[in-house]
Parts: sequence; C-alpha cells; structure tokens
Amino acid sequence: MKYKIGILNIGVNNLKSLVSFFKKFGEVKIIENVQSSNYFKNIDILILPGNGNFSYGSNYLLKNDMSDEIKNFKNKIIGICLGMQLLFEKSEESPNSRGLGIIDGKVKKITAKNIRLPLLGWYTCKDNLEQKKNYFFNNSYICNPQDKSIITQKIDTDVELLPSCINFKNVYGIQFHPEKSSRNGYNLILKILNE
Amino acid sequence: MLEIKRIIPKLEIKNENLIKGIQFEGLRVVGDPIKFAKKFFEDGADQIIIIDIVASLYSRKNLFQTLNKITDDIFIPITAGGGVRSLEDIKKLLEAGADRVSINTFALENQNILGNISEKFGSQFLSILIEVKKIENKYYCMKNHGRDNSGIELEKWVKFLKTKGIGEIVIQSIDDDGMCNGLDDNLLNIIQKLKINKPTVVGCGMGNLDHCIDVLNKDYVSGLTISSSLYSQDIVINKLKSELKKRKIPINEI
Repeated sequence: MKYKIGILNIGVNNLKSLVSFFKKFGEVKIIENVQSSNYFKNIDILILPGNGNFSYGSNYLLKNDMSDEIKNFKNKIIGICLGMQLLFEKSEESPNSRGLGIIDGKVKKITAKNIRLPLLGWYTCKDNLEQKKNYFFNNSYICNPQDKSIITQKIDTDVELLPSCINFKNVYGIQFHPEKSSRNGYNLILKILNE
Repeated sequence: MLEIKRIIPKLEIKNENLIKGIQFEGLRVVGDPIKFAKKFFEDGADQIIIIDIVASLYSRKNLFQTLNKITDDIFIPITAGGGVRSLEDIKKLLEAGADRVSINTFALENQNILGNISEKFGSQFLSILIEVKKIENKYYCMKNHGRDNSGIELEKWVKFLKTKGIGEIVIQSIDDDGMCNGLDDNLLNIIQKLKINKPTVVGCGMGNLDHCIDVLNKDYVSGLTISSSLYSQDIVINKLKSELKKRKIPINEI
C-alpha cells in the first residue's frame, strides 16, 4: 500500500534526505506549519524529524502552536532522533524548554564513562527478540521513558540502558536515523508501517 | 560498547567532476561523482564525505546539485563541505541533503564560531576537517585545500577542539594524499597521544587492504577515508570489510 506521509519541517533538520527516503513508502508532504488545521488531514503517518538542539525543536513547536495538533493526531507518529526526544517533556540538553510530553520520562545525557560522545556512527541494537542490527546514530542525549516496557529496542551494551526505539500506542520513537541506515533503516520503517 | 569502524569514501569535486590529485595538487578528472557515490553505497560504504575543493573560490552551486542528486538514492550519512564561510552556508548544505557539514578554513580563522554553530545545529552536527602538512618536522593545519599554512600546529588545534562541542574530527595527511604508500606512522602516533575524546576519522595514502587494516586496527580510529584506491578498485569496500571481519575488527555488515 502507498502511504500518505507528512513530514513536519521543524526548521533544523536534514529534510531532503528524509523526503527522498520516505518517498520509497508513499506520497510525501512537507508540513511547514499547522496554522490551518487541514494540515494533518489525510495523513497516515506523521514524521517528527530533527537534527539539532532540543531547545530549537521545542521553540519551533511552541511558536507554531503545534503541540496540541500533534498530541491529538490519531494515526501513526514517528519521532526520529530529536523528533523522538521531543515526544518527552524535558531534556537535560535544555532544562528550560518543553517537549510534547506524550511519553512520560525525560531525555538525559548519556553518562557512561566509556562511551565516546556524541554517538556518531553505526552501533549495534538488540530488539526484544534478541535480534541484532546496526543503525546509524548521531546524538549525545538519550530518551529515558518511565515505563520501560515501551522500549522495543536498545543499543547492545551493558554499561547503560540506551533505548533506541520505543512504541507507545500510535507513537513510535527512533533514536537513530533510519533514513541513513541503509537497508536496515528501510526494513524497520516498513515493519512499523505494516504494524 | 563496540564502536563500529566506518569505511568512508572521500569524494573531492571540482565543478561537476570527481577529481583526484596527489598531495592535493595535479588534479585529474576521475568521472561523475554521483555514479561513484552510488557504486560505493552499493559496495557497503558506511558514510560518504564530499568536498568541493573550489567552492571557496567560485560558488557552491555544483556542490548543492551533486548533493541533491546523491541523496535521492543513497541512504547513508553524507558529510559535505568545501568553502563553508557562514551559518547560512551550513543551513543551505543541510537543505541540499547533507547530514553533517565539514569545516576547515572557516573554523581555523573564526575559532569563536564553533560555539554558535553547535548551539544552532547541535554539537554532533559539525565535522572539523584538518588537513595537515609536515613542515620542518612539525605538523601544521593547512587552509584553503592545502594552499595556505594557518601557522597552527596540529596538537594545539586538536587540544582546542577537544574543549568544543563538535561532532567529529577528520584528519587528512596532505603528504600522503594520492601516494598509496600508507598513512604516516608518526602522524598516527601523535593522534594517539592526543587522546581525542570524540570520534576520529583519519585518511590519505591508502593503497591496499593492509594499509587500511593497519589503521583501522587502532582503537583511537573510528573511521577511515579512502579515495584514489577506491576509484582504481585497488581497494573494494566489500572485500576490505570481510578482511576486517576475519580479524575481529567491528564493521558494519549492510
């Protein structure tokens, strides 16, 4: 099936790569703002992207009055990287900024001493079935959901819990960049869309 | 946690062509950068670096066009650079499809800009390119694609960068570029001693698989750039990866 995919342009992100990538799954529409409530109509999947500082994403959502529209969106939402972090209310990266608060918990700095930051490059992740795959990461902060049962995949390490994917109801969070993770990224998105 | 070692084709472009020089000089045309990029993606590259070596002299139009086309079909991280002079340049490169922006001369000349950039785009976003040349037994950071000496020594520059919010450091050895004789051991030793607390990519001089294995075997090296030997197919990414795997060096099988 061809999906109608809406990508929120939150100002600081690698929009071009995301658009090319999601075109593989359907029709892509870039959403610049939601001043008109029609923007989210007829969209099967809403992509909340992001590459950058938590405060920028937060300010953008605030300035464009987007939070309620996103929270009320009933179809699938996929937050990618900063977009995943914006699903939470707070981040240590910018303590005075507010995220969407859709998921309980917070975004924290990765603290384990033997992990070189930022996470930049390919890391192995393990899902709940112990299946391992490599994905491309580019971040220094990590989501820490209160309810650990929503974690569907984590980075394969014992030193610290580093969730790489979460799923809560219709909301999905992906900490790495599926659009940059070659075939593995493609297969993961395909799986989410088919769920 | 295992850091997977990255194999990174570095494509230098001039106008619409992929070019290659020796020690950054005597540039010859290799072909169409988009075709090469696609081939390297299919061969299992983990990332691609694309540098427009004349962007600072002319305009960046060709780089934007190339980037735009590359990101239509290639789903691995792309670092782009060459003549980046402003926050606006960075924004435009991002919009054209870059995931990360590579900065050399601009950073050397405007050291206080690094804070501004990471505040706006996130610290992981910046890739600092360092092109070193050995002059009277010291390694200097060169500007403008090797044309001018900044007068800043590698050690001093890296120590400064370690305190800044940047994503990674990419060190290229101008003396080894295009020579296919391996990477300067002395330079590698210096890099090791600098204990860089950020992902560190090195490159230049790779002529065969053994050269690559030697470098990637070092725990302080996160990735390796390769150019000429990939064009000539003296090094093929898939083959390199299977050799690395045999030696238990963590690589990305994609």
